[in-house]
Order: sequence, then structure tokens, then C-alpha cells
Amino acid sequence: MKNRILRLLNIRTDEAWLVTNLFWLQFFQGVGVAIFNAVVLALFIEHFEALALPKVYLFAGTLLLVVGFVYSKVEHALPMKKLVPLIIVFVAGSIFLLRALFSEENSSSYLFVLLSWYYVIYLLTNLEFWGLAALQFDIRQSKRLFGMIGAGDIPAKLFGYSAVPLLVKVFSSQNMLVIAGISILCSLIFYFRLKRAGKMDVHVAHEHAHAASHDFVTENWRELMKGFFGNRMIALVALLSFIVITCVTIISFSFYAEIKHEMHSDGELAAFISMFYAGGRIFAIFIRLILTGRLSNILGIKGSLLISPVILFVFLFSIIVLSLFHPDHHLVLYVFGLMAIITEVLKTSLQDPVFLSLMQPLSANLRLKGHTIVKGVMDPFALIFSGFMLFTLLKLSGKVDLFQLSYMVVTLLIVWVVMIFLVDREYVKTLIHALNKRYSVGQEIDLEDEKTREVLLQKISSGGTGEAIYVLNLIEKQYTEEMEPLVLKAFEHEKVEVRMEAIQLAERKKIAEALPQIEAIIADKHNTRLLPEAIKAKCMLLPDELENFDEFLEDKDHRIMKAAIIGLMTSGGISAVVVAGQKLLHLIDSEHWEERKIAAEIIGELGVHSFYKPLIHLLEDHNHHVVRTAIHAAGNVKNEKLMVPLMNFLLHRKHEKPVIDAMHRAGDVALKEIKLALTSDILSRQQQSKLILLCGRIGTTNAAKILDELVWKLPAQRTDIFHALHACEFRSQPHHLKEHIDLMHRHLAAATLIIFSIREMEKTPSAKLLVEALHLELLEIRDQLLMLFSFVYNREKMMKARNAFSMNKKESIANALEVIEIEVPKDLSLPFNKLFDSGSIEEKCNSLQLVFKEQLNYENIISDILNSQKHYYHRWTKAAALYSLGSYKGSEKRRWLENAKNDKDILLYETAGKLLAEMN
Amino acid sequence: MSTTTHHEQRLLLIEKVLLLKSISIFHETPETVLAEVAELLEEEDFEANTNIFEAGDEAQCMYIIFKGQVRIHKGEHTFVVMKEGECFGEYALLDTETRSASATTVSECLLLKMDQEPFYELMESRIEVAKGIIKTLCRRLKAQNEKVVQHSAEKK
Repeated sequence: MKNRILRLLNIRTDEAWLVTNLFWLQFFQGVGVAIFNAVVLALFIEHFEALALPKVYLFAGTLLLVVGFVYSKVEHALPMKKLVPLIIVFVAGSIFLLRALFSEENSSSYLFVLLSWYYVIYLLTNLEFWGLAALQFDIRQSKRLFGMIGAGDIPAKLFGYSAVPLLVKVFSSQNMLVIAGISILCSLIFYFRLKRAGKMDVHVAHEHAHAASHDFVTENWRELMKGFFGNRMIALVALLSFIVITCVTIISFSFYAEIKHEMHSDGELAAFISMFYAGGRIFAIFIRLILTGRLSNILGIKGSLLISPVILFVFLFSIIVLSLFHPDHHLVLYVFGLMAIITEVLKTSLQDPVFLSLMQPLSANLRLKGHTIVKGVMDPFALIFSGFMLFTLLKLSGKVDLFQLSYMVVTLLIVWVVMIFLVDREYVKTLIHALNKRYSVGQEIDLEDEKTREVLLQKISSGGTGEAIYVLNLIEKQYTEEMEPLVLKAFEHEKVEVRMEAIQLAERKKIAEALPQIEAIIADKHNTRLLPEAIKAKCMLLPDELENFDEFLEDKDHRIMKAAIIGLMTSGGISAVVVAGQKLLHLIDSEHWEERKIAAEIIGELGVHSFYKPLIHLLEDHNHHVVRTAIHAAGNVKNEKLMVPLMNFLLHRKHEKPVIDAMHRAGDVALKEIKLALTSDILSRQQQSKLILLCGRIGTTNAAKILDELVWKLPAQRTDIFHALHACEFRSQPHHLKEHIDLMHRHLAAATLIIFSIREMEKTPSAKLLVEALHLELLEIRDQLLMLFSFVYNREKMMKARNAFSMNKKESIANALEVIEIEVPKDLSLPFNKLFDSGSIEEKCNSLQLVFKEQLNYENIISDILNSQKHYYHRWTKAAALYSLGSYKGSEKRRWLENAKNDKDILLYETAGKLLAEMN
Repeated sequence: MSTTTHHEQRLLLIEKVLLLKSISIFHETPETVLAEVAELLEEEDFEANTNIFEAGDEAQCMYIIFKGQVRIHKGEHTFVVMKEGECFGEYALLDTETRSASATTVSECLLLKMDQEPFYELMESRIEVAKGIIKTLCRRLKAQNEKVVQHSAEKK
């Protein structure tokens, strides 16, 4: 029964205790505030004319600003566990004090303060409660639960407002204030329960940090303003709240101001106000408990926020039309009354929880700040603003004109809707930012910046080897002629490694100004480590002045000889090419393997497409070192004809790692052979996997095209194929879009089946290993789905979501699910979120039972895992399924095992073989 | 070294996976990936009192004890006697250094050996293996730090 109620309320078992206690804390505070409101409002309306209400708004607004300011100071100074009881005691104490000051001949100013104080206690209890609730839940929970938790306020007010007409006969009005204070004090019981359970210690580090940085918070007001102007999300939510409060105030005012004339006595008035609010609360409780969480899940943030202005617009439109054709004051009054209930109900049941959810992706610090800004700063301003507007309007027209007010509200509604769109756009940005924070990579250093250049020069002159080389690499990436002095400075570095890097950079970037330094190294001839690089650089930079370079061809130092051959062959001079070419041919045909190896190195370094024939010869060399070097060189030469022998090595499981590396460097040229091998039946599973991942490393459009075809040809290898496609930054092409979306639906269906299979298998103790494997299978599907989403929808956001999942932290996952809900169409994102949100298997099954009608049992689950063609289960899951058959006695066992015995996969045939042997 | 390598496997691949999962450095690695790691394991038989490696030897593989007991020692001084399901020399998978102690079988042993090179290749394509190892090493480091802090607090 309890589970059914929790399911109906969309609460998970592990959240029930916390939600219940927060609910009751809110309930007792709500009862107190409602009784206080009903009593003081009746007293006020009875004694004052309509014009007085805007004055109360003006005064209460100013008072709230002061209270908001003080609250923000106290909130920063105290941890939550001290703040909550302080506010409760203060609010109750202030009510007792007001009761003590009550006399039969109350002055107008007392009543004025009394009604204004209602706004203060409403604000304080609201700030304290939602501040506490906001720290307990992540974004997903807040969207689902805030409606429910805040619902404590609705029965409270229902109870409070309904009790007033009855209790006021037993107790006097003034004593009702004492009851209000006692009720608020009762909420302390639930505070202590939460404290005992450690729920008040959340974000302790954050609070300690506050205490430690006291200087930082001494000017809290400025901090709040900084929060307002510094964070667009908070500013927009605050402005939206401003518009909402202004609308609500104007509509309520219109109703209060007119209803007085419809009632004949103050008792009637108090009873009407109480029953009016109580009726509204019954409606609200239904919306809040049942619909808020679900509505915000289905409609999203924007849809939920739009409900109120759209409904109000429909009402106002009817009023305006009525006023044109059939001006009936009473009817307009009742429509306004209805609107007052609806705005109040929708504000508490939809608006407020969604506002809080909007701020959940922010840090805990900003979340509290945002909440204080919205409630403590903007709401009072809205009250002052509406008070001012109404006061001016009444002064000018001398009466309350409901039609005039309708036009005013319509204008505000238009601003309201615009603000919703702005808030929604900002919300997505905030979510992405929340995900980015963990994965942001530093922006590239701007080398154009004067100060940066100074630092770089200093690092090149006197920095360590690593630092200087890093700077040279940076320069190479963003090279412009202005950076030449930095490169030349590197030639003066004391370390050979840095000077070597400088020569290579000068060669690659053709920095002619470095020639004097390079020629000096060649002339010296003693620095044998730098000489080869200097020879190559000189050949590149000054190919027409290579006199006496032939002598380097005969140098005994192989490095120098090699550099001379490479340098001369790239110099472009015919005689130089001929001389160096002859030397190279001699090396290729040499009897000494070391020389043949050098030949392979030279061909590799030259990287000339047409030099493939000698490499084919060297790839067949009997010496292992020569072959490895030739494989490496083949990757640089990038000739298709070389890919055939390379692939042969792979097929025979020889030189796997160097061949994969060479094919990677060969890029597109290697793809033809890779595709041929992958689409034939000659590769083992591991070999397929290696080649698929190689395609991903090649990463070109052509590689992605091959991989995309393999999604359908090699379904069992989809995990690797998706990873490879992701590496290619693949985007789904229009002609495959439908197939990709169809695949997403199939994955979701498979995940649903697995969730139910886990529930069924958990009943069988011997299937523990299989249950664990099915959990892994779910993670695998989640990962594949996220990659599929990234192919079709926003790649960057989906990858952030994927990273957030891999962090495996509650808040990161909640943010990720939120991003998916926004970016991915609802027919995919809603089931995805149901499947992969936190929660037990039982809870997931409950939420999915409407879409899953199959009857599962042990036999059909095992059969599906082993034979399904709809979803290709991982080999581990299949092996675990076979392994779990050990103690199974059913008739299907032998058939399943015999089929698996013929599988190509060792993991499966071996497991099946052993179990069959045991059966025999 | 009197070792014999049996060509006929006695442990199923699935059993090797479960054995790997029970070892701390692979505890965080999903079984789907361990199924590939398990394929790299070679079974080796050792008779009692056989020296598996000497202190100072180049370390290029790790061992998991499937059956038997192995003494880790330096000369005559025994540091620990390792039993079934335990592994030794696991740091050799990550870093080629010399062995800091010798390992000698106490009884007849069946060991599973994993070489560094194929393991490195697998790590390149399966990031989960590296992630799992990093997590375990972090946990060990944290535990070590806590011990040091506790030890120094006790000293004071």
C-alpha cells in the first residue's frame, strides 16, 4: 500500500523519509501562516477602503527589502542547521509579540503593520524552507519532488483557512494569532528529526567555506547584487518572478477591493476569504501532488511556465470580450475571483517549484543566493511596484476599474511570456555550463599577447628543457613571421634537445633567418647529434648551395649519411637526387641488415608516394628489424599497394601493433583493405575490433562512411563501431537518419526488456552472475544510446552528458538527464530518463509497466539472451547466461548448450562445453 | 627453473574473469572488459620450492595464484606467504622495474601469468582497464596516506 502511494506521488523509496519530514515541516509552518493571513486580512479589509491596500503593498515591499537584506546576511553567517531554528523561533516570537500588542481599539497603524507583517513571515518561512529543500536534492529530484514537498503548504493552508471560521467562534481573533505562532513552533519537531538524521549537514564544506571567508561576505548586499548582475540565469528568473508577483498582486487586489462591497458583514467577509482560499487549496493540492512533477517532466520547463500566463490570458480575453458586448460587473468580479484562485494555485503548485528547479544546476552557493534574490529582493520590489501602479491608478481614476486592470494585466502577461522564452534559453546554457565545468579544457594560449610573448621568450632563453620544447610546439601551432625571434633564441639554449627542436622547426616552417645558426652547426661538424638535423635543414632552406654535401653521403656515422640522403633528395637538384638515389639503392640491396633498415627509414622519412616498390621488397625481408622499419615507413609512404602486405601481416597475427600504427598514419589509403577484411568472414572478433577502432583513429569522412555501413553489417560489434564513429565526429546523414532513430527505439526497447529481466532473474539465486551481467548490459546500451544521440542531435551536449554519466555522481547524472530531456525528442528522452535515472529496478519497472506487456520467465529470458536477433547481447552476458544454467534442470538446457558449443567465441563454446560434459 | 606449461587449459575463460574480478587492481573493471583481459592470461605450473623470479630480475609480468602458495622473500627473510586468489608482481604490468623481492613456490602451484606487452596493447584500446587500475591505485594511496597520518598522530 505504502509503495502504491509512493508510486502515485512519484516518490522513490529511499526519498520517502526525507520528503515526509520536509512535508510536515512545511505543513505546520503553512497552517500558522494561513491562520495569520486569514485573521489579519479580514481585520484589515473590514477597517479600510480599497485605496489602503496599495499603501500596504508599498510599505510591505519596503519592509521586505530590509528583511531580505538582513536574511541574506544571516544566511551567509550561519549554517543551515542554525538558520532554520532561528527563523522558526523568530517568526513565532514576532507573532506572539503582535498578539501581546493587540487591543480592542486597535489603531489603524497597528492593523497596517499587522497585514504588512504577514508578507514578512511568508517571506521568511519561504526562504528558510526552500533554502533547506534546495540543498537536499539534485535537478531531477527537484523537478519531480518539489511539487510534492511544497504541497505541505497547501493542505496546511486548506486546514488553516477552513479552521478560522470555526475556531474564531471559540477563540477570539487575537487568540487565533497565538494558535498561528504555536503551529509554526511545531515545525521545530521536524527540524530536529531532520537534524538527527544528518540532513542539516549537507554542503557543510560550502558553509564552512563561508565562515572562513568572512571578509568576502561582509558586504552581503553587494554580493547579492553581484549575484543578480553576475549570473544571467538568476537575473532572468528574478525578473520573471517580478512579473509574476506583480500580476498576482494586481489580480488579488482587484478581487479584494471589490469583494468587500459584495459582503454584508465582517464575519461574512472573514468566512468568505477563508472558504475562498480553502476551495482554491483543494484544487491546488490535486495539481501539486499529482501533476506538478509529471507536468514539468512531460512539458519541460518552458511548457510548465507557460501554463499560467496562457490560462490567465484566456480569462482576461473573455473579460475584455464580455466588456465589449455585455458589461456585467458581477460576472467580471467572479471571473477575477476565479483568476485570483488560479493564479495563486498555479503560482504555488507550478511556478514556485519550477523556479527552484531552474536554479538547481547552479552551485549550492549560487542556488541559495538566487533563491534569496528572487524571494528577498525581487518579490518585495514587485510588491512596491504593484502598490505604486495601483495607488497611481486609483488616485487618477478615483475607483477600482476592473476593465482597466484587465488591460494592465494583459500587458504584463506579454512580458511574462517573453521572459519565459528568455529563461528557458538561459536554462539550457546553464545546464551545459554545469556539465562543462568538469570537463573544460584550457583555451589555447594567445601568442599575440605582448605579455605572453615575454614569458615565452624567457622560457626559451632560460627555461628547462621541457618548458622550452613546449613553447616551441606552441609556436609551431600558431606560427607567424613575428615569432621568428623566439625560434632563433632557442638556438642559444644550453640543451641540445631544445636546439634540435629549433632546427626542426626552422626546417618545417622554412625560417631562412635561421640559416647562419644552421650553417655554423654544419661547419663545426663536432656536434654529431645536431649535425644530421642541420644538414636536412640546410638542404631545405638553401638547396642551391650544397657544395661538398656529397662527402656526407660517405660518412661513417649512419645518422649523418641518412640525413644527407634525405636532404639531397628533397633539395630538388637533379644531380643531388641522382647521387643520393644511387646511395639509397645501394643501401636497399645491401648485404647488411643495418643498411637495409636505414634504407627503410629513409624511404619512410621521405614519404614519397611512388617509392613503394623498394618497400614491398623490404617488407619481405628475412630480418625482423628491417620488416618492422619497413612497416613503419609504409605508413608514411601512403601507397595503396603497400596496404595489401600490411593487411596480410594482420591476418597472420604478425607485427600487429606496428601495422595498426602504420595503417593509422596511412589514413584513407588503408581504408580499402580494412573494409575488405571487415566485410569478409576471415577475421576473429578481436581482429574485427582492432580494425574498427583503427577506422575511428583514422577519423576521416571516408572512415566514418565505412563504419556507418558496419553498424548494420556487424551488429555484434556495435559498441566498438559507435566508439569509432564518435572518434570520427560522425553526423548521421539524412538517408540514414530514420534507421538511426529506429535503432535508438530498439535500444530503448531492449533496455526495458533487460530491466524486467533483471527483476525476474533476481528471484533465482543461481542467476546472480547473470543479473550483474545484465546491469552491465544496461550500461552498455546507455552508452550506445548516448553515442547514437550524439550522431543525430547536439554532439557536444550529448558527449558532455556521457562524461557526466561516467562521473557516476548523483548531481552530474541529474544534469545529464536534464540535458537529454531538452535536446532529444520526448519520445526518446522520456523513456531514456525513466530507464537510466537513479532508482531501484522495482521502481523502474513500475514506471515502465505501461509500455511493457510481455510475460517473462526464466526460460524465455535465457532464450532471448542467447538467440535474440533484435538486440545483440554482449558475449559476457551470454556467457553468464550459460554459466547460470549449471543448476537448471529444464528440457531446453541441452539445446541451448549444444548451440553455444558451436559458437566461434571461446568464452561461449568453452563454458557450454564444460556444462555439457557435466550433464553427460 | 623447473616449470611446465600445460597447453590444455584447466580454467574456463569465464572462471578466469571471475578470478580477475576478485583481484583488487581489476575490481573496478567491468567483466565485459575483463573477458578480454582474461584471454591474455597464460597458465603455468610450478613444482614446490621452485623459484619464480629473483629480486633484481627485470619485471615484465604479474602472477595470480590459482592453486598453491607462494613465498615472497628476500634471502631467508619471508615478507609474506600468498595464497589462492591473491596476486603478486602486479606493478610490473604498469612499470618495468626490477623485482624488489624474490618469489618461490611453497607447494605445487598453478599460476596465471599476464605479460606486460599485450596488457599495454589492450589498455590502449580499452580505457576502462586503465580507469579501473587508476581508481584502485588512488584508493591504495589514500589508505596509505591515512596510515601515515595515523602513525604520525600516534607518535605525537
